Amino acid sequence: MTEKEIIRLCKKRNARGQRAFVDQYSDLIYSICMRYVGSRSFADDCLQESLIHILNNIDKYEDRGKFNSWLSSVTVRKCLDWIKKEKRKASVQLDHVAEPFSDEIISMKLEKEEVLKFMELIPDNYRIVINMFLVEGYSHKEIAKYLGITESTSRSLLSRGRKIIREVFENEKMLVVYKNSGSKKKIVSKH
Amino acid sequence: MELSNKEKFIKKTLENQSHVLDKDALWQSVQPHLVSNDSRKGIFWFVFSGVILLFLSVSGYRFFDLHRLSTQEIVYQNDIVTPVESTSIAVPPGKTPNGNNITESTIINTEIVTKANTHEFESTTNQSIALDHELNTKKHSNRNLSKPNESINIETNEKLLIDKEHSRKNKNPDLSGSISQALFTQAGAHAEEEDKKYSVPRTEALPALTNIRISEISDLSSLDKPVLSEDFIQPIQVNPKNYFVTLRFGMNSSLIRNEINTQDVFISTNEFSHEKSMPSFTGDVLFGRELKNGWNLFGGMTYNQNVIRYVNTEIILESGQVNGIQSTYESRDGTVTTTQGLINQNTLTSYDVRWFRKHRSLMLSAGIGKDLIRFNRISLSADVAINYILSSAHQGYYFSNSPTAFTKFEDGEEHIYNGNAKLLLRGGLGINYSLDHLSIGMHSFYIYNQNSLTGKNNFYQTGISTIGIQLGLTYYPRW
Repeated sequence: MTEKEIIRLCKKRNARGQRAFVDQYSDLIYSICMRYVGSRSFADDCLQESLIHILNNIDKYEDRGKFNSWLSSVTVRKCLDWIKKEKRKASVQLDHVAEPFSDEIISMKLEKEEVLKFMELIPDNYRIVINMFLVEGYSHKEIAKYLGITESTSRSLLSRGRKIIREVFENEKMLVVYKNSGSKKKIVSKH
Repeated sequence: MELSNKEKFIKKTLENQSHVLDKDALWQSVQPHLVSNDSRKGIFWFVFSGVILLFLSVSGYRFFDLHRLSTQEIVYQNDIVTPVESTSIAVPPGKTPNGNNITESTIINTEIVTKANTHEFESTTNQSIALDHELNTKKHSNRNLSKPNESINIETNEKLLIDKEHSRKNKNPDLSGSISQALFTQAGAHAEEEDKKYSVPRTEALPALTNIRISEISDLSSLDKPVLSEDFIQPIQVNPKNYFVTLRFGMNSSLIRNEINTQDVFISTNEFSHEKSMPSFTGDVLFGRELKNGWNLFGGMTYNQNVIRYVNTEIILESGQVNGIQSTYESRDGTVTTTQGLINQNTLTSYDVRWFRKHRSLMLSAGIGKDLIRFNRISLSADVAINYILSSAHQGYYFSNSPTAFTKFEDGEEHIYNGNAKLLLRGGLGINYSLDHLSIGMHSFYIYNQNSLTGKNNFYQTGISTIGIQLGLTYYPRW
């Protein structure tokens, strides 16, 4: 079934088209969820919510631009909403710039799995900004607008995130992750 | 900002990560939460039928309320008109009103009571004068003829009884008008009544249909990166070159603008103030084509009907003097001598004049429209058009520069509306709900008419503009 056919059927609330949509696009949506929420269990929930939201609102897609781009933007929004909602209990502040702190040492090498592990371990605020900037290509203005932070905070988060990436992967230094109570994580590099 | 090689690697890794998902389980978990088409349709039709019901209720109430007001309440207003208490008194022979013997001429003021033809009362005086003028729109019937010093007949001890039922039964309040006067004086009484009826068949509402859907705008290039949107408000979709047919029908109200052209006229501008608009109908059948950026061109036929009603139920008190019995003297031997002379007379005139006029036009319409805002399936549009009157018909009465003040339209008769203005301007705003091949909406419009009359050296000009609201249906066959 072609993309156009799937969209057409989904707009008509056709179950066959919706099933085809799940088959064809859930991987893409799940990878976005993984990038943003950082853990598989959270990503599963986020994927389900995103799929429901997209299928119930697919008529808002009006055949302009790439469908994948529209899908990504909606999923990113949904992920960010999900993070705000689910992580609020843990008092995660998106504009909080963590200070270096060390406790537990994990050795990271520049392999795909380590990259994914790295993204899972870094705090939400770093992960979101790195994803939005490096992967999705948003500007700091766009990131700031959506996350409700200042552009300078966005720049600061990205700068620190890139520094961590450099130190961990380029300089092959150790990534130190401290997990304190709850899900709060802080990340530092150790020289 | 340049990405380092490591950052590029991270990006590529993140973008290309793959996962194994249990699609069946995922579908099972998602499916129960999906909104079905039926429920959406149900909500839409529930809301839409509610809007239709509200529209019909309001318009029906408005129509019948106006109808009731114009046909009944005004009549009853006459019923409750209390005749001015007469200053006339019955005087015993040889006595003054104070009970004294008459020794010199006594002037007794008299009261003339004019009453509409729908009132019933009895004279309390022993003498009365009645004057009745009847409206005849082709001959007379203007208040200018209702002067109290014209054609006064005198009878003695006559009870004036005007059969209310008779009047009502013979009256078509929508279409008739009458002026009547009855005068009571101490000198005598005479009542004469006549009710002129004008019966013009009520024109049925002509159905008409229409609507416009607004096409979509924007030639936006495809986006390479996702766009974050707070509320999913999206620019209007590009889908030009679709043809459409629109049917609209709805109610209108006339905006009347009358103006006297010359000073030498019989009627006063006050007469114009008695005109008011009645609800009527406007319908369109339009064909169009969508262009780029939400623009569309359309053309078709428009039927418009204006109904204007004239109601004058004024009560006017006029004072004057007429010849009559100034005094009565009875000598000791019983001889009664009367003295003729001018006596004061107050005339109370209750007007009950009603007529209507109806203008029907079939117009050619051509215009341009545009989608202004689109929010999901709902869009707000605007359009302007030029209307050219192909054919028009007139019914009822119209103002004429004559003592009768108004004249009835007659078939084949030369009247001031012959050769009326042909070009009219039209503007409108619409709100539409779009389905796949259909669009349903409500459309408000204004048709501007500078002057409904042209040339003819007419003594007045009238611009009958129209404002209204319509329900519309647009079909996109996607040829």
